Amino acid sequence: MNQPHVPDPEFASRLQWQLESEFRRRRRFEPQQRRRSRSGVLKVAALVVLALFLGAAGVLAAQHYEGSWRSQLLLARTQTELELARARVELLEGEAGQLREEMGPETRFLVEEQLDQARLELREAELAVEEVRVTGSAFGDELTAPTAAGRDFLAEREQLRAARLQQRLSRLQAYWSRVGEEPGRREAEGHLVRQELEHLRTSLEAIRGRLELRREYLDGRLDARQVEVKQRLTELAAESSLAALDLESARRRVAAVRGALQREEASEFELNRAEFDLATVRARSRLLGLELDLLRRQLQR
Amino acid sequence: MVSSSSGADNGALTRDEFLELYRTHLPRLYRFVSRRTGDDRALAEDVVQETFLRAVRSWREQGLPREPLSWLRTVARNLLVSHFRRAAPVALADGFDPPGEDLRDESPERVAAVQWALARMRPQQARLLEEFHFDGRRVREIARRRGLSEKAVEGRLRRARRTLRRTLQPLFRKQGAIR
Repeated sequence: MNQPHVPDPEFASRLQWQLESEFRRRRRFEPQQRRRSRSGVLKVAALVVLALFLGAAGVLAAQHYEGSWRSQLLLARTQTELELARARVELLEGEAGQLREEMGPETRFLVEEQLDQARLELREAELAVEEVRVTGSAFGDELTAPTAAGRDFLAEREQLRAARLQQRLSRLQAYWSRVGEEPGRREAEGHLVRQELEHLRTSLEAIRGRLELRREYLDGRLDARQVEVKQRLTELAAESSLAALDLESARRRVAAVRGALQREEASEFELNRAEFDLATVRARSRLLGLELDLLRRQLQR
Repeated sequence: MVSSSSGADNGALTRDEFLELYRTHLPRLYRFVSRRTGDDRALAEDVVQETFLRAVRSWREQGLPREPLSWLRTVARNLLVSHFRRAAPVALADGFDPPGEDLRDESPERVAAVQWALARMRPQQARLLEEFHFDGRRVREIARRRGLSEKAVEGRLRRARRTLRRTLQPLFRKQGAIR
């Protein structure tokens, strides 16, 4: 007979197997998942849209003798993406409306986050359609891209992203001021929230840097070569800030494992592993510093 | 709940490290959840399973939290609150006075009714009652953990119990059990 409040051995081993599978699955697909995460419904919607897109592509491919088929194809694609983005926003707004009464602070934060992201994607899709209509070609993120019909689409895109980051920053700060004082919360989530806030500030700073470079290039104060070097400098500065955060995490982990080792809750192997990770992060930071130094010297010449 | 894209691969948890943490914390997390479900095994297992699956995703991407067990308990508790917020109210039999009893070994039905009410109360009050009735913590221990005097904790417990009784009233009324 089962003892109360003790997990059933069969459940424990089944869950362990499931976790092992999940671990392997995540490891295998991690890069794709980090880029984009969607709910099951949206995956289906994306597949439908893909099918529509392939159909449209077939039709347009058959008409390619009429010329400018590439532009038409591009426009069809961006318009399809726009429709998908619009449908996604409507779907999420509907879900959020239904769930609003039941949401705790974490759920509310996540739902609002998803909705913000979907709205940003919708505005980006609208911008992409306008850009393809004006230029007839795919957009790029090169800081030296030309303006078109008096519009700087690159800067508009970057401003959208900056607004999104700023919104996320404010939302996270508000969330943390609401729940950060709850018992156990600071220990459980505190360093993650701090790290995320820092990450957002760094990313925001990097976008502002790119926008400034773009202005200087369009004003003729910088040439393409100078923009390239300065852009790398901006990226390196952001990467260095993020590396500093990673360094803090790695140090924290070493300290935690040392503590656990003293309490006989961790092995020497775990400590070696944590120290190895710390050394790796340190090496990466040093390399970034070196590259930054070299680029600065190059810029002074 | 908070996602960070930085540090994704640094100090990333290995499968063996994760399974070691799983084996260490499963009994404690299961006890924590099971007490809150009245040993409703199906519900307890669902919540524990979902909590560990979230841990796989979160810990691999964001690194190990400083207090893994606190993290697991926070996530499990939020899942339980979400579950009981959505759940239909459970009718209560006559003569049940939850705030006067130790709930750790109560029947799943009675615990579900209490949880239904707790999920509708202010989180601070609900947590206080949970610590006392489900985790079996004494007033002195709660006072020490929260940096309060014992008298203050007793006062808060009294107020929280009053709220719990008030919130539970509709369940009794349905059965005509409140006289």
